[in-house]
Amino acid sequence: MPNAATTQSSSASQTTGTPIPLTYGYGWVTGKRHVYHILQNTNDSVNEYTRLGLWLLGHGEWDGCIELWINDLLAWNGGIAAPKQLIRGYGFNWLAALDYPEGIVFNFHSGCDSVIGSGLTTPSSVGPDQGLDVLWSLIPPAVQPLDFSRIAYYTLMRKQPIVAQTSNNGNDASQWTDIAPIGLWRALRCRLFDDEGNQTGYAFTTNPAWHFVDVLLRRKLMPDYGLDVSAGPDDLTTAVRNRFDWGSIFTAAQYFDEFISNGHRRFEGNYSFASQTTLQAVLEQILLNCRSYTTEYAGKIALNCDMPRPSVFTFSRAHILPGSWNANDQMLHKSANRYIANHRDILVPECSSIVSITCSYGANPVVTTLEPHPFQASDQIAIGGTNTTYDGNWTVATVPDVINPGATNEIDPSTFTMTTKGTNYPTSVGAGGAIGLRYSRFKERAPEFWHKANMLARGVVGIAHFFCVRSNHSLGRCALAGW
Amino acid sequence: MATSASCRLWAKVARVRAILERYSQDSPLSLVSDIPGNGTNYLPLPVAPGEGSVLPVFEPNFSEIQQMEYPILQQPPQLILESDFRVYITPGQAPKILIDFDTPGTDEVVRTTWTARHLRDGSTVPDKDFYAVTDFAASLAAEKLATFYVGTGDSTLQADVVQYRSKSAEMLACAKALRKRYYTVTLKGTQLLNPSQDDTPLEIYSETCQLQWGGPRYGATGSTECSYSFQSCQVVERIMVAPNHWEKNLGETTANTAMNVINRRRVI
Repeated sequence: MPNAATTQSSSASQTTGTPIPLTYGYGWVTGKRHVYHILQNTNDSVNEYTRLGLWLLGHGEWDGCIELWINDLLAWNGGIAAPKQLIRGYGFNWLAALDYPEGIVFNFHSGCDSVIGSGLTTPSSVGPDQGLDVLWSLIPPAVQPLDFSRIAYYTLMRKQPIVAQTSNNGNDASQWTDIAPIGLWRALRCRLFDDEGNQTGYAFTTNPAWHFVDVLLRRKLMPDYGLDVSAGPDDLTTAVRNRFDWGSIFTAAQYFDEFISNGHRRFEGNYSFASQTTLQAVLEQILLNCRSYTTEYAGKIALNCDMPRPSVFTFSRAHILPGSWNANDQMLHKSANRYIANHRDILVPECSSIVSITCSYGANPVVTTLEPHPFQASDQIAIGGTNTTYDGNWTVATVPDVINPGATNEIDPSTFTMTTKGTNYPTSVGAGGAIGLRYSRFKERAPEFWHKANMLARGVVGIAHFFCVRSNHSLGRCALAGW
Repeated sequence: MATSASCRLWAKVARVRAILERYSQDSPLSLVSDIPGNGTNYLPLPVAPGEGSVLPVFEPNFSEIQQMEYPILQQPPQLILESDFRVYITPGQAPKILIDFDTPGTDEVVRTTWTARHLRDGSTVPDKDFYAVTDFAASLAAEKLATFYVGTGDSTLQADVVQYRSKSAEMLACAKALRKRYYTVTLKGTQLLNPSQDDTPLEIYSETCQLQWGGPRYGATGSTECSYSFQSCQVVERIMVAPNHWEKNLGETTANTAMNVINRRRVI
C-alpha cells in the first residue's frame, strides 16, 4: 500500500474540502477515494466479497497509467491478458492481473469534458471518455452517480485474495481482503506551441516550459475552455495568445528538451500540487526545476532560462545612477554555498550491482550480484546499465534458499533467476549495471551540493554566486508526486 | 529678514555654473556634426552646428565621441566600430580624431555624435529635465541657508530663546530631499498578473459546483443562473462536485498487504 518511504501521502478517503490536484509529468498516485463498496449477499460465491471503488486523480486531462500496484504487488502494467486469469462476472471488461489469478476491472477516465445530454442514468463507460462508468451499476443507489467532468479518475473492481490464502472458498470472508491501489501515471496533457504561439500539439510532456504555460492558462488567463476527448482543448483566444512572449518560451522549451551528456534531457519536471498554495509558489517550483525566471514586459509573459553565458561583465556608469554606487568587500561564505535538494527520484533506486548474467537458450536468465541481494521470487525489478537487451523490467523467478538462516555462518543468496522473456538475449553478460525494485520508485533523496572551494572567495554578494553554484549540478530532475 | 535673504539666495544660486556643471556631468549635451574628410586617418575635432559666438565646444577632457558614421546615408547606417576611433593628442598640437583603416576623402564627411557641456545660459537644458535642474538649484540654496543658520550663536538671555540650530538641520534635510529629487527617477509599473494573490489549485473537491454558470465548461444555455448545487444543476453530466458518501467497511487502511521486505537502500 502507499508507503511513507515512497509516497507523500494524505488521507485518500477524505474527498471534500481539499484541492483538486494539478499534476504534471509522472506521478506516483493513489488519488482521493470517492466511493468504495464490497459486494455482499450476492448469492454467488464467485462475486461475493468483491471490492470496487472510484479514485479521483486530479484536474484533467491525464494521459494514462503505466503501472498499477494493488496491495504492494504489481497487478497491471498495460500488458495483454494471460490465459490463466480468472474472469469474473457482470460482463465487464476484465483485465488479466500479474499478481494473482484474479482478473481486475480497471477503467481510466482521462478528465475531459463529459458529453452534454448524456445524462447520469446509463452507466456504460469504460473510459477514457468522461461518461458514467460501468461500475456505478453495482454501487448502492444512495450514492449519486457522477461523470466527474474535467476530473481524471479511475475505477477498480477486484476480488482480492489475502496474502497466503489457506482456502479459495469464495464465501469465506476471511480469505478476501480490501484493495489499496497506487499507480505510476502519466499526468496532465499540455498544449504545445511554436515560436509564434500557434498550437502545434496537445500531449503528455515533462517539459517545464509547457507546464509553465499550462498553469498560467488554467489558473489565470483562460480557465474556462472546452476539452473534448477527441478534439482536445479549445484553441487560445487572440487576447490570451498575445499575453505570451512565444519566442522566449519556445527557445526555452527547445533548450530544456536537449539531451545532455548523461543521457537525460536537460530539464524535466514532475510535480504534483495537491495542497492549496499560490500561483506564485507553483510557478516558482516549476521555474526552479528548469533554472529559469519569468518576466512580464509590455504585457507579454516571457520565460527566460539561465543559459551559459560569458562570465565577464563590463561595468560602466551607464549601469548606475550618479552618486549611488557603493563598493563593499564581504566574505562570500556569508551567503549559502551549501544546498540540500530534497526531492523524490523518479528513477528506480539501485540496490544491487551485477557481476554477471548468464542464460541458456530458452531458459530463465541467471543473475549474480556483487553482494547478497534482497530480492524474492515474484519481485518486480528493473535492470539498467548493462547496455544490453537485459536493460528493462523483469520478474524474479527463483531465489536460492538462505544457507544456515539465523546462524553466525548464515549465507544469503547472491544469485537469482528471472522469468524468461524470450530467446533474444545474450548468453553471457559481464560485470556492470545494477538492479533495483520497481516499487521503490519515487524514493526520497536529499543530495548535498557544497561548494567548499568558493568559501573564501571575496567580492560583492549577489545572485550571480547562487547561479554559479547551481549551474554545475542538475537539479532539474525532481519528482514530487503522490498523495 | 530670512525670507528676503533666501529669495536673494535662490535668485543668485540659480545662476551659478555649478548647477549646469553637475547637470552636464549627469546628462551631457549630445550633438551631431559632419566632419569633412581630408584623405588621412586624422580628422579635426567636431564643431557644433549653428551660428553665433556661444556654441558648445568639444573639450577633450570632458567630451566623448559616441558614434561615427562613415560612409553616411547607408541603410542601415554604417558605423565605425568604437574600438577603431579615438581622440589622439600630439604634444604641442591640437587634438585630433584618429580613425583606424578608413581615410575619408575631401569630398566625404564623417557624421559624428559627440557630447559637450551645456551652455551657461541653460538654453540647452531640455524641457523634460527643467524641474530636475530647478530642484538641484533649490537644494544648493537650501544648503546655503543651512550654512547661514549654523553661524548663528546662542542667545545670552535665558528667556525667549530661538532654537537656531534646528533651522540649520531643517535646511540641510530640505537640501537633501531636493537633491534626492534631482537624482531620482520615479517609475511606476503595475503587474498585470499578480500570482501571489491567486489560490492554486483553484478548485477543490466540494459539494458545491466549482464551474462558472454559462461558461464553456458548464455548457448551460438558459437564461437563469443555477445555484451551483446538484439540485439546481441544469447540466448534471457536467457538474463538478464530489459529495461525501458513506463507505462500507474500512478499505485501504486495513488492506491485507503483502509482507515482502523491500530494500530501499540506494547504492551510492
